[in-house]
Amino acid sequence: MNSVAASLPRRRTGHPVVLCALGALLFATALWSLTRGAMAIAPGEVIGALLRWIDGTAARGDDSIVLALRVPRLLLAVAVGAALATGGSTMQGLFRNPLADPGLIGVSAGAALGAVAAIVLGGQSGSWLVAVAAFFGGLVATVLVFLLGKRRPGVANLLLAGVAINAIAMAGVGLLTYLANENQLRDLTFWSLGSLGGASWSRLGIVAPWIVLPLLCLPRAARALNALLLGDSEAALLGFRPERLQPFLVGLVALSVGASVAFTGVIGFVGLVVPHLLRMVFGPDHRFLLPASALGGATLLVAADALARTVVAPGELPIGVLTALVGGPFFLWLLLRRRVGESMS
Amino acid sequence: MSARRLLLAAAFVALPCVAAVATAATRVVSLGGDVTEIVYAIHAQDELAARDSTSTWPEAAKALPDVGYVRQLSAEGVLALRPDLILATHDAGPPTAIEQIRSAGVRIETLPASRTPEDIEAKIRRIGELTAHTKDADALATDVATRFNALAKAVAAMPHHPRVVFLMSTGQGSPMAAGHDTAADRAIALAGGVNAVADVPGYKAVSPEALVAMKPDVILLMKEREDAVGGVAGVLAMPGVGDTPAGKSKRIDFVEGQALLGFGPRTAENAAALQARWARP
Repeated sequence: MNSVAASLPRRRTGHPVVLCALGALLFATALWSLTRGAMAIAPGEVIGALLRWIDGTAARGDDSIVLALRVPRLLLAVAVGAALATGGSTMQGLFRNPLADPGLIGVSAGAALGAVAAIVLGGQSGSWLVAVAAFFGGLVATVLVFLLGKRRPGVANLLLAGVAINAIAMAGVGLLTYLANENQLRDLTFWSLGSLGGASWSRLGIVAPWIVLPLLCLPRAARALNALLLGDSEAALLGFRPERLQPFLVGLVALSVGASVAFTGVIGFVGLVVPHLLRMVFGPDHRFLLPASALGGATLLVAADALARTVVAPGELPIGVLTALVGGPFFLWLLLRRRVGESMS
Repeated sequence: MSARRLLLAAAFVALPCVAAVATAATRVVSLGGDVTEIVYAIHAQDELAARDSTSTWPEAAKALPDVGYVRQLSAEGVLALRPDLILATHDAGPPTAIEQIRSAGVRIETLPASRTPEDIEAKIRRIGELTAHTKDADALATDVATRFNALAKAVAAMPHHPRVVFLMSTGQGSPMAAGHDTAADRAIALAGGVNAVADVPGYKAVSPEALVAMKPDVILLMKEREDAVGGVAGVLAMPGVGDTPAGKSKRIDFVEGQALLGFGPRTAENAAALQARWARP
């Protein structure tokens, strides 16, 4: 944390430029991803399809592959990537811990328990039942973590409550795994590796508001998160109320990450590493970190999904495998080239 | 995007496909090991454009493009092969992918789940109709029915029915045994055995003690895992096995999992082979 004061004034001026660059990178990655898939569609054709769609001329050729499958999938990747990375960055700020991710507040484990229960007891896979059960499982777990954690002041208690609820939820997942038959086992394994394959316009319309609206509220907490870096009492002296901030942030992250996980399954790595990486390079100012995480997470997930549907085409790899494969080595490289003695903040 | 525009878009994809049917041969994608086996057995394989990862028999099927695991399909991956007809086993999925393929205007036919000889015959005839190979399909269905009838007679004539445990060895920890509501349970019954684990549904991990308590006369495993478990010697060395009747008389049987448990054309002869072994005292 010692770099906060030193780095802020010097780097602040550069941040709008970095945000614009990240935005441009996301845009370029998005266009590239639209041209990638099991079906070979030339970039010109993809742009033609988009233009015909925008000005309302009749679709032709493979337009429907681009418009009905790839575009909703791209938008889902953007929303989910942004939710996971922004959620991670918020959690890392709230817990003042670079290893925090949205899973800490129980949302992922709760969602997993809900989804696995729907798969094993409801006998369903890839259906609405799984998504709804996962969403509510995530919310219930988060509410429990929060209620148990706030019985004593301080963020450490929230963390411990999260650890306990996570353990209980994962025990439930283990029990259900034991009860599952062979097909259900494979279904829940795939669920736990994530996929954006279920995207369609109608599903996107239902799930996107739950992801995006909470995300839009998070940047309002940026200044408060910056103050929290100094410690609870220092933040209080600066006029921020940590005990008010907690439910606000935990609730928003639980909603957007819960909706993401419910719809796509567990996609690891993005929430932990994207904000971490941005903080390592550009410093811990949350006014920058929150929007930058959104853009970075979206870019990583869009790229990973494009690879997921092309590497083994016409088959498809689980996206969780690729987020780690794409992001992991880059993160390691960044970590290793840092000079000895630099802090981890 | 409005529903109308989507429909229009779908129609534009569908149109060239419809035109293609009239001129060229049908392009079929087969999803599910049982479906692919039947397609080959009724000589309809010339129209196959792709298969899923569970379609590993016959060997020739492996040369076709692989669209991935049958319950985790990608809509675009399947559509990219420009199929005219998709033959899907009952649990092909996920439902969203099936929905997406259907809404792109491609014909997808899901075959009913099958666990009895009658189901298998019906499945063969249905695939025959869908691929316009009814003659071959009828012949195969009749042949399969004859084999099952002969098998049923042989089973009825067995002086005693051995207690059987089907083990799915995971290579670590306790192996999983097939309870009722499993393909293995039905296959054991077809071959004239009595499933010694029939009181629990699905696959359950069994401890060495539980295995001894089940008193199986025969232990059945998948041939696909034979090397991994170390063959008959490896099974005999598994904890508990030595204290079972099966272990004492060394009655360990390996069966081709896909052939016996796929409930396709090869199930009858594989069950019959097991029955012949089990009929001996």
